[in-house]
Amino acid sequence: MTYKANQRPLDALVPVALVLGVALVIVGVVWTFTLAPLVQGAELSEPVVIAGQQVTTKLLLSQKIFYLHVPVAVSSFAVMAFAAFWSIRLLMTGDRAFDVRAKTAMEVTLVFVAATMISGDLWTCFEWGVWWVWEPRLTTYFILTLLVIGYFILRNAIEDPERRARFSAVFCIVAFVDAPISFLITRLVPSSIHPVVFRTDSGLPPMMLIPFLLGLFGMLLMAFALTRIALAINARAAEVEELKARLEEQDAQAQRAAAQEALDRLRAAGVRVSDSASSAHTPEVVGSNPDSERSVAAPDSPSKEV
Amino acid sequence: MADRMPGNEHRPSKFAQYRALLAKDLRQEIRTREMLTSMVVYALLVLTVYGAALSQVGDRVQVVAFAGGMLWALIVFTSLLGLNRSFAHETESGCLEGILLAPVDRSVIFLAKATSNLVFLTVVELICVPLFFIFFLSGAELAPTTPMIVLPLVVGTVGVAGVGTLLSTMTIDTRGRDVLLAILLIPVIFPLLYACVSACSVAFVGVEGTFGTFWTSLAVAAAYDVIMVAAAWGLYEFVVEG
Repeated sequence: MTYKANQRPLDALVPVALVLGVALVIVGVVWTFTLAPLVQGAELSEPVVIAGQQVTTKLLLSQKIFYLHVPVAVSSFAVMAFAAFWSIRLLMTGDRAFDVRAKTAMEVTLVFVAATMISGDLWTCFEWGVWWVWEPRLTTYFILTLLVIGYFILRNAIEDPERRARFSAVFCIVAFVDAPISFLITRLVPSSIHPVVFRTDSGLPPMMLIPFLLGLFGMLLMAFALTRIALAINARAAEVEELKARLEEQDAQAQRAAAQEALDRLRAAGVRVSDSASSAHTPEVVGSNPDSERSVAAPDSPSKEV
Repeated sequence: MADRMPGNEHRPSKFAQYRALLAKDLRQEIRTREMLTSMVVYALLVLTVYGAALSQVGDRVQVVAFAGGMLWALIVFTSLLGLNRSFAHETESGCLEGILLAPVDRSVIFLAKATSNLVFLTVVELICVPLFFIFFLSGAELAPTTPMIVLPLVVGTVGVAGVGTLLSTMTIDTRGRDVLLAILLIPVIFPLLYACVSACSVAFVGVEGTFGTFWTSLAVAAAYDVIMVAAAWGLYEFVVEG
């Protein structure tokens, strides 16, 4: 089964999604820096003391990170959900194609997780004045990062592809338990200084809400497109590996056939030589190299019996 | 249904299977004392390291403030060592294959293994927690609520044993399994660790009116236990098959 045969109509949407996603993100970013108003302090309704410092209420340019940080983080959850879904499918069906898909989705997740951690840490540094706080959202997301990295370390540690597929699927499902915790932690722990962004009354004025939503949908489209592209690449890579294995198999077969043919030729020559030797009773003719005669004659005798 | 089939009348019940597997683990440990010895000695060494780490903290009251965290660090590191050891003798001379060949339900194997890990962790904690008190809290005025740390200790140990059994089965045959178990286990049990440390700290400090946090943390830890042990139980068959 080739890659083309596996191709879904969904793949036709990939270029559109990619272009549209990039365009939406660019519009969102431009809007962010031109039309969206500056914010008093962080996204906080009241001043909060962090690391002995009261969060400033002056106009903050660094709040612009929010417009990219949240979409990237949401995309990482979304892609990881697909990784967990394909892991479950793998355990249900045992079809190794799902392993390639889960792995691909985790690779894309890793990209988004890294982007989230970088943008989030910039936020922590510029908005809160510290490089790191063990705040619930940060902590759970940090754990998610470690789990995604651990997934790849686990994959690398197992040789047998069948076991690797099963074990990494199990770990992906266990790891995904953390994603909803991280997403919902701002609701579970209300004292968290992370605001609850996803609610019907987000409290954002339209000039801020629109670029945020543009960025969000753009980023989700980009995540979709990137995942599909990565899937196509990995599926093709798997196909190349399979073809390579098949080619090697064919090569080995051809070599075996050639060796067999050479052996047959040699045997025929041996039979001829031994026939002529026995008829002429002159071993000196072939006696120039008695070793070769013996080695040729030796395999010959059982085949004659057959 | 299978029990009604002819020839299956004498098949032992699930509970009997569970008891037999658990008894095997306990008997093996009582005879070799391999795991418990190494865990207790390791815990003692961690306590020694704490001794150096805290040597400049003169005030015992300060130690009380973060005793919960230190106690849990001790438990996590010690259980990592124990979980690695617990499957080491299963792979020797194909013991695990033997168990898998027997007509035993996979979830029974998980429960038996998790229970034996829980028993060993509990024994180690029974030795180490008093030692921790002797070494670091003997002069401190302990809050009357201090005995409440038993609750998070129990809930936390159940979770560590359950998830640890799943993950150590996965890492047992891999390259660099000791490190890999740590890499996988610590992030996975982190929510549990966080909740248990918070509950223990509240119990240690014992300030009036903070016990809401104690019960919330305990509820979070218990919820984690239920979700994760159920997930580990359900996923275990995929880890041991094949």
